[in-house]
Amino acid sequence: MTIKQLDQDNFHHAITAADLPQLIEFTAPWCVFCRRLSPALQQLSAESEGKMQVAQVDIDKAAELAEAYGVSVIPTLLLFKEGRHGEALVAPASLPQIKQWLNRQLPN
Amino acid sequence: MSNAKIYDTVIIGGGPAGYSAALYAVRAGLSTLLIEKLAPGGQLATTTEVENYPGIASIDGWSLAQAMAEQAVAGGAEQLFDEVTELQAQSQIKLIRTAGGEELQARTVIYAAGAEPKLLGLPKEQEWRGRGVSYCATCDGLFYRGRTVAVAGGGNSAAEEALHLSKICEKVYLIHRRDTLRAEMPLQQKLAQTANIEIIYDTAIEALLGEGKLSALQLLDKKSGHSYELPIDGLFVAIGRTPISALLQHQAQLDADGYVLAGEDCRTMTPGLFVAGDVRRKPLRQIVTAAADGAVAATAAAAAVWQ
Repeated sequence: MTIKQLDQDNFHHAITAADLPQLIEFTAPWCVFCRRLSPALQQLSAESEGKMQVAQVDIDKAAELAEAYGVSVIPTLLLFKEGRHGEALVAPASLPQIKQWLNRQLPN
Repeated sequence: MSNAKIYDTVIIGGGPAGYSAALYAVRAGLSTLLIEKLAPGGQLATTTEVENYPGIASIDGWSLAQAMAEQAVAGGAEQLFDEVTELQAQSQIKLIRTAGGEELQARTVIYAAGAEPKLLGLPKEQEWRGRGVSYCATCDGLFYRGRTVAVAGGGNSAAEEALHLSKICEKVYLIHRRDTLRAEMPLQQKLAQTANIEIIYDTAIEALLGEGKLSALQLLDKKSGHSYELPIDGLFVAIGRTPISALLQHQAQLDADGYVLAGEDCRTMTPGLFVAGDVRRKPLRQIVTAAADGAVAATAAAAAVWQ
């Protein structure tokens, strides 16, 4: 499963119309810490096929979205279910930390 | 989850030391698993420009780390993205438990977990991480475009952070608690030639001030005893690193700073447990010395497995 790229135009539709929970990473091409999340997001995307969709928002292209969701540090992760999101995860240090955060929000 | 396989070697940490160890281990015929908590590279992954790895004039740290990982995996090393929470190395078959619930066994362990940035130890420092406090200028610098920032420290990394920020920010204060910098001369010369960098010597940061986020530093001029506030938008802490060695307590000798005491052969006091890279006490911590450690440790591990 590929990681979708979302922007101002398709973000709202993606988080409200989707049947599956959406894991969104707010990121930017210049963020050197953010790229450390890419293997984790690829793995989560593959492992959660049919259960969760992974997507990214480039805050340079969608500054309004970052502001709307209070993102002042990247990488910030938000999990959306039916258009609503729970607590943010900022700059996680490990894959297990991301999984634990997801498990608190996702039904088994 | 329990994996019945007994690996010849399990490598903990996926920086240059870990992947170099993995490459040498698979080439020595060892069944090899490398465990990394997030992504290949460790500290190297957030380095933007590497210009001192022999044979490569200039490369992005992330690309170099990816290349190291790909080479080790292509050679036959297995890779697991998980965090080790427990290491029992004293028995002949070593046991490794992870946050993801894995229980792994190995004949040898190469511990290469590296080091992480040291904290100032001030109230609010952790809470305001991302709200004005940062440990990586190349990561967070652009959030402070056109603003005033401070860098705490006086070594090479502090100088590099200040120089990086000087290209983005309006003004950069470099705050050092001593009267001379430890940074190498070429870096000190660059600092002196950069108009928007101001070095504040003999000064301690006493408190982080602000409402909900950092807006000023409480500074103490140690020579005059004068205490004052310096308004800033961001603070980049670059006061050195601290080794990640808690898992090795009672299994390897640690010095007062937590670095592992092991010779150039990378052996610890526990048979079959080796250390490599920045976590080992040594005079120079560079990508090339980490990679060298990995090679030595893997060769020693191979000797232990085949004996």
